[in-house]
Amino acid sequence: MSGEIPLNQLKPHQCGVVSHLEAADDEDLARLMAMGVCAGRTVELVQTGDPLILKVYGTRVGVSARLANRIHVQRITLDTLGLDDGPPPEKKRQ
Amino acid sequence: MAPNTQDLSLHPAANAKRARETFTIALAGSPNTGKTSLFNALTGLRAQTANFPGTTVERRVGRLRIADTDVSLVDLPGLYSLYAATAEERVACDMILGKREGVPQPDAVVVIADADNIQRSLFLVSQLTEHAIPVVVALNMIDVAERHGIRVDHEALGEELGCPVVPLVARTGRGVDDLKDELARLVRPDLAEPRPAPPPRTTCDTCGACPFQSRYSWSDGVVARCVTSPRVAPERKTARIDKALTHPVIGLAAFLSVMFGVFYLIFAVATVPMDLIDALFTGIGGWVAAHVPAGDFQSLLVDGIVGGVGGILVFLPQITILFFFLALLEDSGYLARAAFVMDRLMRRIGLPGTAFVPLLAAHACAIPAIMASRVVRNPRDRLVTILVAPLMTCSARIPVYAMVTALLFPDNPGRAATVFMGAYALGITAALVMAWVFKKTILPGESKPLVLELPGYRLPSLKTALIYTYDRALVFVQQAGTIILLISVLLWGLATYPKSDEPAAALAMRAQAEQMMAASAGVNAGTAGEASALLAEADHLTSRNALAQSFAGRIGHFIEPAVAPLGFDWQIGIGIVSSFAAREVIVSTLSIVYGLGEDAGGDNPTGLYDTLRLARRADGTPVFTIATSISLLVFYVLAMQCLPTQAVTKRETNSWKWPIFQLAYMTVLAYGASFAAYRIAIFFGGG
Repeated sequence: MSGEIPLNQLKPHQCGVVSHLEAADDEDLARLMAMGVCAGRTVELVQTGDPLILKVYGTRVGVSARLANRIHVQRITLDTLGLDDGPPPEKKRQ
Repeated sequence: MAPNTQDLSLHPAANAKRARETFTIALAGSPNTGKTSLFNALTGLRAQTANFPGTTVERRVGRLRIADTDVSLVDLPGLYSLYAATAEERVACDMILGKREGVPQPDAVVVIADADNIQRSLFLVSQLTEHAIPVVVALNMIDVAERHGIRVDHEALGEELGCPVVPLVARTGRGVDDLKDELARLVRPDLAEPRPAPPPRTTCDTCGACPFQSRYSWSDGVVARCVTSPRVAPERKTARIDKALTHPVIGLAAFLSVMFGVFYLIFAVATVPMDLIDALFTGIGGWVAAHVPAGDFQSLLVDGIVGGVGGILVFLPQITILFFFLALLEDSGYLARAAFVMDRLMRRIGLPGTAFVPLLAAHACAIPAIMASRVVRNPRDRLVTILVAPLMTCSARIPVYAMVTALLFPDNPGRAATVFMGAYALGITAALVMAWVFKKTILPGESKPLVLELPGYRLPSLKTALIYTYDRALVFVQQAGTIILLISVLLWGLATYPKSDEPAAALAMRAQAEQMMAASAGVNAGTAGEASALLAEADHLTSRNALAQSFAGRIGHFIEPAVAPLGFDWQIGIGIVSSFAAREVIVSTLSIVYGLGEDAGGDNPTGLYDTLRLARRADGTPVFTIATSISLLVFYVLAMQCLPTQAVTKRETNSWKWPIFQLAYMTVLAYGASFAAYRIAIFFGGG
């Protein structure tokens, strides 16, 4: 299961590698990038919803869904990165 | 002054030397890395807060001595990178790079890195070390990192970065002396051995497609070489707590209870010290009155200055309680969650979730609320929050609400409570609607989408909270207090001048009282009582006349045609003018103009309410009909009527434009709504 998807489409506790960010000149995206959400980095979706929570570099970041929609990731299906902190992926929440 | 200036110009060398003697160190770092703790550990209470010239961005400057030299330490706003995204970050970047006018470039930068999460901090460190300014890295929270099994080879890290790295724990002070030693080498390079030159760096901001990408790749390498950490980050606790606190329903309920608790404390606990301050200043006023001969000077001292200073300090309990708890909540990591859960709701009126904190606090007092609006990062959203915060019902409105409800429903607590609730609801609705209107009109622009770090939970530091509270109190007293004092003296002048003679009726009463005293010669206690009652009556008449003849009274008369459509007479007009400084003043003013004495409002409100109910217009109809009472209530819910708030708005927006606009829009809103309420009440037979 691969291919580029917006970050929102990850399931809780799934990780993805950021492939690109739309409109990188936008100051909010610049802020995300300074926090580590940048092409080539691995991010984990911790909690879905709006705003959602993602984890990058061991830091949790709350991001509004419309911004997260502009972060494109490659889904990583195997939990090989040791980034999972909480309970194993569980029942899907909407 | 003149000889002094001349002296300095004659000795430019001495002057230059003096300028060089203060060594400036800037403290930079990402939010949540313990920057404030380190600043406090280095400077303690020897710090001053001011705005960067021409901005509303605050900087704290502290003094300390390093290597027998005075060093000033500047605490910069939090910074994730030198690619500034917000106004605060831009100011911080500009200062570090010496691009800010009126602010000298620092001589060195201490950048804080989170030892528990080095990789994230390295971004800013690597950017800073590329500029021609000495950098020292303070590797904070090394104890947390050790607990998590993370080991940092700080010497190797220092070699990679080309600058000294000092592991420390800002909260406990461990390693802070090492940092000072390292800074001493920079302050007095003549006393220290030179360090080897840093190796050339292999990052490049311009050659890759993404300037961030190459830097992260570089920091990955550095971390791999200098840091050993266990495979799984032990963050389960934070994850579990967050599951509840960021939940759309549970998180919201938790936040509302936390805020309700803080709000309740401000409301309930603050009244004790506030009453004490009130009593203290009344006492000082009495003492001054007893020791200074009666006259204008005494009146200026007692009513203008002592009253004015008391009027400033009386806000301190609410300010300190709010900021103490806000500091604890922020330090614990909770405030970020609160902003997170409120974000979706607040976004509907175009404000971020953080704006909820000041808007709720405004229910106690708009002044700490406006000061707390700094939690809203976006300047436009922050301005909207400041503009609408005074519409919330603050505690100063309660005496006015109590007066009006007592006039409307003297014997019906149920209905009185409904009116109270209605007044609160009106204020909240008006604030939310006006916020939405401002976001659509004068301050347009979609609110910034949320990007908010949710730091790990930790036990908040009492010391940090206390220092922060002290700092906020100082800012209020020094920077808003002076304006408030000037305004109270001005209003004292308006209510005192021009002087008028004692009215004939009062003179006649006094004469009559004297006759009665002389006739009974102190034998008949009943007559003596009647005589002193007459004298008191004469005093009331005199103060009523004096106020009516003063500038305030004349303005009250002058605006009568303007307030008549709201159902107000000239006495209420005086009440509105004199309560410009503080809303609750209208109660005592009405008690004077309707002829009860100054104290009646405070000690015996029932007497005041009875008098007000009996007050008649020239044509013999009662003044306080249902329609007029409702109109007065609506006016006081919505009108600005609080100059201390205006002083704080000025301080926080760094311009007179916004307090004036705030006054104008709230007055127009109050006028329109009162007019509508009056007409509607009359239509339904309330006239």
